Amino acid sequence: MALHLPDLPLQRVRRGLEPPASGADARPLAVVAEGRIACCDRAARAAGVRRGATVAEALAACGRLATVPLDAAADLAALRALAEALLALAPAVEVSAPDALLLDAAAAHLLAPRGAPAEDGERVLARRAIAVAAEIGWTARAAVATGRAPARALAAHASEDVVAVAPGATARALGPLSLGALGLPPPVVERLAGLGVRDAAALARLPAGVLAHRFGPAGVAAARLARGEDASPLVPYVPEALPEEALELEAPAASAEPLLFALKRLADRVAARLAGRGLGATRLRIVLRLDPRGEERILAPLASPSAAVARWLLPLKEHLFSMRLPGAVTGLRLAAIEVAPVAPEQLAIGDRPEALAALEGVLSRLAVRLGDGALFAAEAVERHRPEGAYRAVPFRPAGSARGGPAGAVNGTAEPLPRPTRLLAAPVRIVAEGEGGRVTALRLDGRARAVVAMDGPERLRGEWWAGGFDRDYYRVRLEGLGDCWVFRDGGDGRLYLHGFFD
Amino acid sequence: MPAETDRHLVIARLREEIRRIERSPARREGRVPCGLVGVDAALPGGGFARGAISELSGGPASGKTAVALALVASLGPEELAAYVDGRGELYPPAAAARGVDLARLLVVRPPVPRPDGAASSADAARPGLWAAEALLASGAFGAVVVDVPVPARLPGADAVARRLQAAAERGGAVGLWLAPRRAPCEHDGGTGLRLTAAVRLDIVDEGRRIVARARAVAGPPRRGGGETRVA
Repeated sequence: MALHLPDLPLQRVRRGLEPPASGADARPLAVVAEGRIACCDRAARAAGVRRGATVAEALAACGRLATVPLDAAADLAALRALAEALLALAPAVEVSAPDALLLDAAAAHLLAPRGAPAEDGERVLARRAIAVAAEIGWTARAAVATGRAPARALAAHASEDVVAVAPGATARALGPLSLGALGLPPPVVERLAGLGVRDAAALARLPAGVLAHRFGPAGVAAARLARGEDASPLVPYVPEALPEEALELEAPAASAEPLLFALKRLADRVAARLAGRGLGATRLRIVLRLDPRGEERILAPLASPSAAVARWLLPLKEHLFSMRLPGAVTGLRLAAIEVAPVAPEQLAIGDRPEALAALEGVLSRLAVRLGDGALFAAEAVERHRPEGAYRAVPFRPAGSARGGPAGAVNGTAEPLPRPTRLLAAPVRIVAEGEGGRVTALRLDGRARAVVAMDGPERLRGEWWAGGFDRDYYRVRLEGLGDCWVFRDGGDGRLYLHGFFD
Repeated sequence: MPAETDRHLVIARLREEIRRIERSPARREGRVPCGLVGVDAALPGGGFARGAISELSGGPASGKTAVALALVASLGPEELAAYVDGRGELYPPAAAARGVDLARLLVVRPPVPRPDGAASSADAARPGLWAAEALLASGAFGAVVVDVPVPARLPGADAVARRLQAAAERGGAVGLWLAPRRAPCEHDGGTGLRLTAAVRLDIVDEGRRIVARARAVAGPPRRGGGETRVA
């Protein structure tokens, strides 16, 4: 199946503007390549601008015409972005520059309504692909046919939004297409026209030998296409980079409200691309471009990987409304900078949406007010140094299976008890004793009698990071309770390190 | 008098019904036992109430944190817990050893203001209290443990206490307020916050067996002045 984006360069320019220019008051727009009009919009056409005309001719026809240079790289990036979103529909998508995508429709029959012929599935797939494209701001036409080149040619020149050609009927469907539509260079088209060959049907009737002799490989390829012969395999597009979308604001925005609207549009696009790859974002980055210069960056973590825009908007809104903009915003970019796989059913229905929304809401409020680093989940780390035995990781409870009780120290031996509270910095204490036996510990200038003592548990190592050597004791102090105390092998002194509270 | 008893029953049932309707729909109800026999036995109904704040007071190594972690470990498999660690002392490996699923425990450590004297201890307490209120009210957590040092004189302490209580009622979480006891005679358990706690427990580690003693509950002064005491 081929999805063709008519006037892609023009669509891309229009799509990158916010608010989307409406037909009435927008200036006629044309994309220019090498000094000539590559494509132009309806308003420009109505004013007499023609494809292939020079810029001077076009401006003579329409004085208000706005021109934008062709940016093939940006067009290709846009095609790739759409390909990512379409991965939600087809097992493989090929990017066929400059303006088409090819989808593997081998499994389309699964989409056919119950009792309907398998071909109906192809139409369903085509309509869905057009809908996905429309959701993120593209106008597209689709054609389902056997072979890549026939499908692409049919989609590019179809008069309807969806064309489905039954297997075996490809040549007939291609018949009325002009020779230019088959991808033949203009000089070859002219020479063929001189021979009376004006459309694909006529070309298909020519003997292959004659074409090879007079027009070389290009002629043979065109004739094969005209006959609907194309067994070349699809070249699937494998996305590499994480999705990012950008938008220019037509008028600089000084308040959060218009930014949120623009952000919603961007979020739709980024989310569609992630969903196509079965991914959800766990961290988003917004870059606001300020007037006249400078940028403002926002990082928004999400509680669980999600490709649902509704779930993104809550934290994004929280961030936007809480920040003081140093200047008006002229454009914004949204990127998913951390992603994780999302289960298909979660993509479709969401995981207990209300509870997740409540969680997402409170987490983003806390992150905005206290800072991203203030919220975390702890993860056990296999290290002997007690203060290094855990690390802070992002709190993402959804999707994490509830694990059983886990000890701080992995291994076969029963882990030794650890205090529930660990002091940020160990506190010096002084031992008092008689006959080599510690009877009391002096803490905060006050001696407390030792009621019981367990230990020592020797913890040492990490020579590569300065090293440490400590003998830990669990000491029960009168009027205080169980404390975690160590004797430092380095200086021989005693330190209070925590409480068994 | 059977008629009188019936009327009381009906009124009690209506009261309960009105209470139920007034709560937010996602609110969970009931009580959660923490699994420590010596503590659950001291609690009315045998567990910590949802939608309310219970106060655990005790010395630095009395076992109050262990009680809070035991409660977190005994939550349902779908429930999340939050720990507002205003002192920055919670040691997660000990929580894991007590059966807490660390992936489902949100630790909130409000940033500590620089010790340059510009920020008072009251200012330092505010972010933690605010976070506690937000977490309690969110309805996303089954339990919220609050360990925030509050200075003896916190301006607007009564309003803060009332807001925390209202947040717990709204969100339906088990709220646990950890109060370090500095002197046994102190009315407020050593903090500048007098909570309308559903229950107050004095946690004592009796030779490594944690037991709790319920204390009389005292609310913050009502607007009209005076103090309501409920045994």
